[in-house]
Amino acid sequence: MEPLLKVENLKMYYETIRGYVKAVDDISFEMNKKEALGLAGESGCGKTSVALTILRLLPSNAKIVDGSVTLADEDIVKMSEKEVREKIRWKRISMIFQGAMNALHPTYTIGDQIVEAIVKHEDVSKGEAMERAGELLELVGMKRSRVKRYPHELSGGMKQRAMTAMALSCNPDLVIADEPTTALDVIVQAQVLKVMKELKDRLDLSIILISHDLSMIAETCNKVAIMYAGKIVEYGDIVPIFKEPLHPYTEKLISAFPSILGPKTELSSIRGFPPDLLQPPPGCRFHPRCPHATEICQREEPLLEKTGNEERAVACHLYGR
Amino acid sequence: MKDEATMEVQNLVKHFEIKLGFFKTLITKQAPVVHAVDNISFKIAKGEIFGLVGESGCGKTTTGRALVRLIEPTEGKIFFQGIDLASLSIEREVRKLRRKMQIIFQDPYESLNPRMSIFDIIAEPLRIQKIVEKEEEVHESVAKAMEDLDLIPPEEFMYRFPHELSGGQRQRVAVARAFVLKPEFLVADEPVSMLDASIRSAVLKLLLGLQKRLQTAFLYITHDIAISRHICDRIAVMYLGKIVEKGSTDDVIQKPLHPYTEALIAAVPVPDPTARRIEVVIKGEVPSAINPPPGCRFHTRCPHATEICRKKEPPLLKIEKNRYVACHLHGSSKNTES
Amino acid sequence: MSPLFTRERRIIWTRRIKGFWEEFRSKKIGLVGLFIVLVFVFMAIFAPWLTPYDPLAMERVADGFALPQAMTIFPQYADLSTTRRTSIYWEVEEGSEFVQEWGRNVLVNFEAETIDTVTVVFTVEYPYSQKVPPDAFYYEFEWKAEEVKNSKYLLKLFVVDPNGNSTLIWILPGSWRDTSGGESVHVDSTNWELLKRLGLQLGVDNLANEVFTVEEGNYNFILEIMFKPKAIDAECKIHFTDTTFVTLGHVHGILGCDNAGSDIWAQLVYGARVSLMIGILAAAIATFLGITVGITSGFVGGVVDETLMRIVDILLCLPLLPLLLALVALFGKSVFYIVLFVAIFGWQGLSRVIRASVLSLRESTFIECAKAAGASRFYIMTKHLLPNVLPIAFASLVLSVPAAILFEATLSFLGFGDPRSPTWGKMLHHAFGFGGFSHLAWWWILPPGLAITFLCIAFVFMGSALDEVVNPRLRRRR
Repeated sequence: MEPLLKVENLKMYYETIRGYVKAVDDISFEMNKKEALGLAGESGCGKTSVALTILRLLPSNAKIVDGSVTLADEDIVKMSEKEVREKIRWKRISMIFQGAMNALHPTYTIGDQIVEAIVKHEDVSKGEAMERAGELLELVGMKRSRVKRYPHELSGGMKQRAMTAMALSCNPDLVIADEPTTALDVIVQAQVLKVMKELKDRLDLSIILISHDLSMIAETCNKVAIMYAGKIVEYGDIVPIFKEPLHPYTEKLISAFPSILGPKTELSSIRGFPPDLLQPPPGCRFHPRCPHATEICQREEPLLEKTGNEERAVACHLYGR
Repeated sequence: MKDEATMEVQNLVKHFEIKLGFFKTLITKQAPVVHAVDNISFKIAKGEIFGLVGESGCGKTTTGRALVRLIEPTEGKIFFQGIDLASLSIEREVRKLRRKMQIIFQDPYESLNPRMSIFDIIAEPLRIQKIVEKEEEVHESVAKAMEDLDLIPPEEFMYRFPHELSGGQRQRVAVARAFVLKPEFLVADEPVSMLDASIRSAVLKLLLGLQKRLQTAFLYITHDIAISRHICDRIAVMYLGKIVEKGSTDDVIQKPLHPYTEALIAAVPVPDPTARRIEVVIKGEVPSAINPPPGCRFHTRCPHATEICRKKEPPLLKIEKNRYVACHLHGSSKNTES
Repeated sequence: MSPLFTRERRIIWTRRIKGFWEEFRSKKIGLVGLFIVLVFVFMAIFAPWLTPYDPLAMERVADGFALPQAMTIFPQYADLSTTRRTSIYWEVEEGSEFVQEWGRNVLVNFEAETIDTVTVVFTVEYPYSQKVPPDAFYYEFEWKAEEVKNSKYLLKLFVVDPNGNSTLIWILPGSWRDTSGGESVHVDSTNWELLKRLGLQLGVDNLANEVFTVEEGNYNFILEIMFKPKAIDAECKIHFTDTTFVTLGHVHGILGCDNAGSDIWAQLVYGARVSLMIGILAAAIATFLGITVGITSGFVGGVVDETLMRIVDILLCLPLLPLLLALVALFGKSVFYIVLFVAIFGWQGLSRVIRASVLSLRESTFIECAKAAGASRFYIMTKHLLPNVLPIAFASLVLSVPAAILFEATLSFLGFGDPRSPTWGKMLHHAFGFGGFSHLAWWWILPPGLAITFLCIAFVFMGSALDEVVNPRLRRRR
């Protein structure tokens, strides 16, 4: 089956007075329909930058240096701004931004805001759009009547769901959700994630879920890409990666999340600090913090290579060649 | 001799008054009140780590602040090492006690004064409490505190400003500041929730190491029940200003009694994609604390709510030794706890 | 408690200042502003070296409305010359037998042999070359007559042009005298008494033009001392000192002259001192008041807050300029009062801004931590709130300097300034009142106006760069 979205060797750098910040450095992955891909990593690893690059929502000092983002035979990187705006954004790929709850306009009702999203991208009358807005709210588990509410009248979880409804308003093929559950309580978080899983099945939707919370990704996604310092260090189906993490960073990251079930394990931590993306360490970017680093790790950067016969790739010299 | 608890809270109540506009005060008879904390009691022994777990708005942060006297309780008693805090009114006495109680906040960016150097930040409690007189001694104490928190070499960090440090480093500075006075009681309000996952346990390890060494009584406030499992000796689960369950961590988490505790545990994601989870259906969101539901406050969302739950508030009852629950489902009482 | 100069303090402060300077440096506009301000500061500090004249002395250095010297590059002004100053060394021409001293000091000892009138003449050559004759000149000397016995004396000064035409430029007042006497003479060729004595009409005849009719050539100064003995034993001693002769130029110096012939560049340079001092001092006092009220009001709250804010409201409603004029009329025109008044009405805005900042700061967790450690309210206000509020206050201070400078300039322009201070506003006041505008004397009007403008703009540039430095620091995270 042809993948829905294919990202190949994507490189995006920010130009600053002190040099280039290599936020996205040679990222490759694929997405199929009805798939949920988790983009996991800590703050500053570049996961939000990947999302912004796919949607071409970059600030003026950002440059896509290399690579392609192919959506059904068209390369988004090569499109003009006008094309991206008319064809891709919100119609085929939409995004729920980080801190989305605060992205709602305080002086318009959520109904009006969803209508605006629809009307700007499709040739539909306002009445029809309002109908759709009501349907969308029901879709995400809210009462249709809440269409008339203002953001400050809604709770955090409801605001998040309203943002989700807005992201779905033009029936996109792919939704990118950037940290959709930070600042939400645990139970509300579970509700929101449940809604997302249902929507994925019901609407044939693909989701890229960006988060630093590996537990949440484990519950919701079926594929995961672990990012570190602008690179993907491990990528593949979720179960094998969690059961048998290959990359040392993945291993450490998984065990940094305490589990409520099972035996009490020792919480791990990784010594050192996240690298400076202006001048990343030579060779493997993780080597200063890696307990298994060897001489070659300091010199040569490991490539993301497939291992085994399943859909799995890892970038580490321990498994090379 | 009975081992006196370092911190004992009895029937703590904190209500916040809401200021209405000019006209509304004329119209309404009673100013609306936020029932942040409503009659909670617990004890923390020396060296014990007690977890206060709950979602946002349940009153855990307010409780923490009240214990270090940043907020004055509306009702109830707080005993620190046997002394009733409310009975102290003279500034000097309160200040002496402040030396023994400290607090660490959640946001590493906000809890450090951006205009002060790290050295001054950590030295501040010493200077306020006038403990150390000579500057060389201050330097020594600060350097030692920094070494304890792995901020080495101390000279490397002392002269920097908070914006030059990472989140994890800043939180370690906050911890160093809390421990420089060698407190006997410490409140930590979500100390690691704003840090990256891979750094959390490093900071926690250092924090717990110090706590163990000084045998500080520790109140750990969090919404993450999974972390409390790894750290706390005993926990209390709070909902809408009330403690709904209390006991040793293992007991409460492995054998939850209150439906809310069950829901909380079921909702927490687990880093294991194959784990079979029970889908506990909890509807809706936390009601407003201004008008809490009558009877049991959780009844609006509880899947097992019955008639009595809507009418009568369940008291916190002792089920077994060191195990308490406030739920009509576990109604039979041996004796009411306080 | 904490000594001021420990090693830690030094290191920390060095880092603070370096960090601030790095940020400020990156704002080009701030550097432009800083540069301009420094130019003016340099002008103010080195005023005595930048100009030899003292603006308060009001010396007449050139003709009224003299143009700046640089104007001679233009063809229509090329022929104008500057002030020429000559010291006259008298040479004896006639009657040398009575002359005891000549040169700079002349001493004539007359002893009569006959009862005939004796004339002693001194002369000095004066090479002259001016395409455009001066409109005024003045001369200085002292004469003394001693041991006058039975004789009368008369002193006259002439100027002879190369063609031999001689013009009388001075004669002893009252004509022949027979008593001892003496006086110090400083006469301007436009002096009406002199003109009357010489028989010329004021307003119609210009003595200087009459004298200097030939463009180029050797003129001669002639000093004639006449003795009329009344008896044979007549004696008379005339002492004539150092003589200076100055033709007032039509161009002078860097910025020419005002209507009275005073150097404008000197006024400008010394004016910088006053403007800077008033501006910075008034702004500093206002800022100090604003910070104090703002922090107290914001942190203490309650009744104190309400009271202070009502005072602010009332003060903000008062009409500033009329009030300032009334106060100056009441208390007098003094630089000190102006600074005080501007400061008293300048702190309200800042106090509001700081109060708002404090209202949000006081909820910060670092302040709660300080409270938890046992900090008193005063400690929190001074050690925590003040340092966090200082950047805003500093930016505000720099931005409020232009307002203070403009106020002073306005007051001086309207005539309410301190008459003893050479300020730019005063220059404009004089220019307006003494014909600067009607003479289109741009060199009198533009320099003070431009100076005020540039100094104010410079502070605004610096202030806006400071603003940028202050704000992103708070926004910067991760």
